[in-house]
Amino acid sequence: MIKLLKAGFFRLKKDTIFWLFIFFTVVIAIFSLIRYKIGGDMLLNDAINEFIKYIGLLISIFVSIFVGKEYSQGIIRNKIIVGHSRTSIFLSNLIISIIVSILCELIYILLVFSFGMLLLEKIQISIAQLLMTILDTILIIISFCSIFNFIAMMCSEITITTTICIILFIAMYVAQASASYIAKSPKYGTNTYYENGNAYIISQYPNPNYPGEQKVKIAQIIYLSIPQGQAEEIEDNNLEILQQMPIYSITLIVIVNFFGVYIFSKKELK
Amino acid sequence: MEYILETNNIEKKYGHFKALNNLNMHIPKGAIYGLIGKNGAGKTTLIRLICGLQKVTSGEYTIFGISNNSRRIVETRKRVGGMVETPSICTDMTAEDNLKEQYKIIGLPSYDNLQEILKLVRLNNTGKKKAKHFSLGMKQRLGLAIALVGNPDLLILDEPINGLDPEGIIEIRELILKLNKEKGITFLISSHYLDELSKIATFYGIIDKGKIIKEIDKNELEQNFRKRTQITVTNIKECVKYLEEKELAYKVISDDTLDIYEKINVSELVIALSKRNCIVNNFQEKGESLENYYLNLIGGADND
Repeated sequence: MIKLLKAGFFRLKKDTIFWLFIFFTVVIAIFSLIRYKIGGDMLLNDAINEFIKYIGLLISIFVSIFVGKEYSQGIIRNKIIVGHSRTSIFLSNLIISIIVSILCELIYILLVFSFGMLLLEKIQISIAQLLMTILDTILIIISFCSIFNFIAMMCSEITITTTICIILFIAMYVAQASASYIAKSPKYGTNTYYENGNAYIISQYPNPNYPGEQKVKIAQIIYLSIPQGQAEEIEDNNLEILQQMPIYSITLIVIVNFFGVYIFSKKELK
Repeated sequence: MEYILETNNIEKKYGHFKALNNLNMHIPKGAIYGLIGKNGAGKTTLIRLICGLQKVTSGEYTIFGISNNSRRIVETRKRVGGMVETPSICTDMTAEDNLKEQYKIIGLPSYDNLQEILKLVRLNNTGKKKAKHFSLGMKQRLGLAIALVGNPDLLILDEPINGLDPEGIIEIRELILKLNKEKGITFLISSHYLDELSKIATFYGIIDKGKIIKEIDKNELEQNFRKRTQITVTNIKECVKYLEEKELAYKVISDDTLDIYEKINVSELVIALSKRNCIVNNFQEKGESLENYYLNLIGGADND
């Protein structure tokens, strides 16, 4: 495994897609700083969390191209012929993808934090929230890497891999938005009275569009199982939800990689 | 005889299709084993199985005496190098970087012999040129160089000269001969370029419909090659009649040419044919080629 990691990092340094990943990370960091400064959303912690919205797409492109090349150019063949196990090959690609993605997240945080300290208002969340956010962010990144590495290791054509990964990212985004709509639909509507900019609830009534408790529960599970759904929650900084998210992420990571290793070990390679 | 690679009744099925059918093969140590067969005969499937890219449906093979069912097979594969169908190279990297990556994949502690390998395949002067800008021959040689990293004892090459120009074919041929002679590497080479294979192979395995139908070493094959006399005549029908009457083995090549596979008295033949209003225009003594031998075998197999 160590040998494969060393070989992978050697190739990584020479690969344009790795440098493009870093380049886009820096570009997004600059745009986030500008947007938060101009837009008036001045909180530094919000600017730091902004990247999690985009990293899934960047990971889908990076992993599908970097790992996809191994297949299309036959490097996987070289590894198997000289006696590397398929499990090592699968996991080494996953580890490289995770390390690269976390590195880009760190680059983003470092840039936004350094310049944000000068431009934006300071972090206004508790240490517990901050630590949970960091843990959740890392787990979301590992979830994305696991999903896209799984696809890249199953498909031998780089163009098909890239297309599937991007479509899947979009599909997951749509799924999380739909699940979020159901999961967050209120049980009761309110009659509200506004005076001098303040809102006063006069009465509550049952929401006629409420889908039912069971449907809401299922939607919540789906919403939090999708990495994009978790990314949305990171922004809300709800400590209770932040504490639940690792369970969903770890379950997803274990299932995806377990099946990934199993299927890849049975796969007929060309 | 010591065998580096043996297969014992291996079978490979894709759904209901049997790509390999109870295949038995024996590769002697130090041999250049030419695996001959037409497209779809099962050459590449066999190589994929031996390289560990696919799993056998049933049967067993051994590499250096270690069974594919043993856990030690993974370790044993470190003594094997291979190039399956197309060269496995990273096209965004230089020749040197491709080799460095393979050194790391194998886990070699230093880049010893790297320049020597590059020189061997004549890619030592490619500098910073990326592999994507290489010619097909250069890519093929780079693939071979990658397979050579780690000093393998067995090199498996699937169609190594496919798509190469004559110069490239000569280069690969000379390289294989050099490696076999100087480093004692055993080769398994699949090809359907029979003439080319006959210039290097010391052992042949003829595969058809997923089965090795014949294994033969070069000396034995040469002894089997029958001399033949090729004649061009003006009246092939009369000529055939005459040969039938004399019970001589022959094969019609075209409307005016045929091969006679037995020793003949030329003057007698020319006079006899002339009496039948058939003139011999051309006369040539020939040795049978690997191609003819192969076609005869495959023809025989087809008739079974």
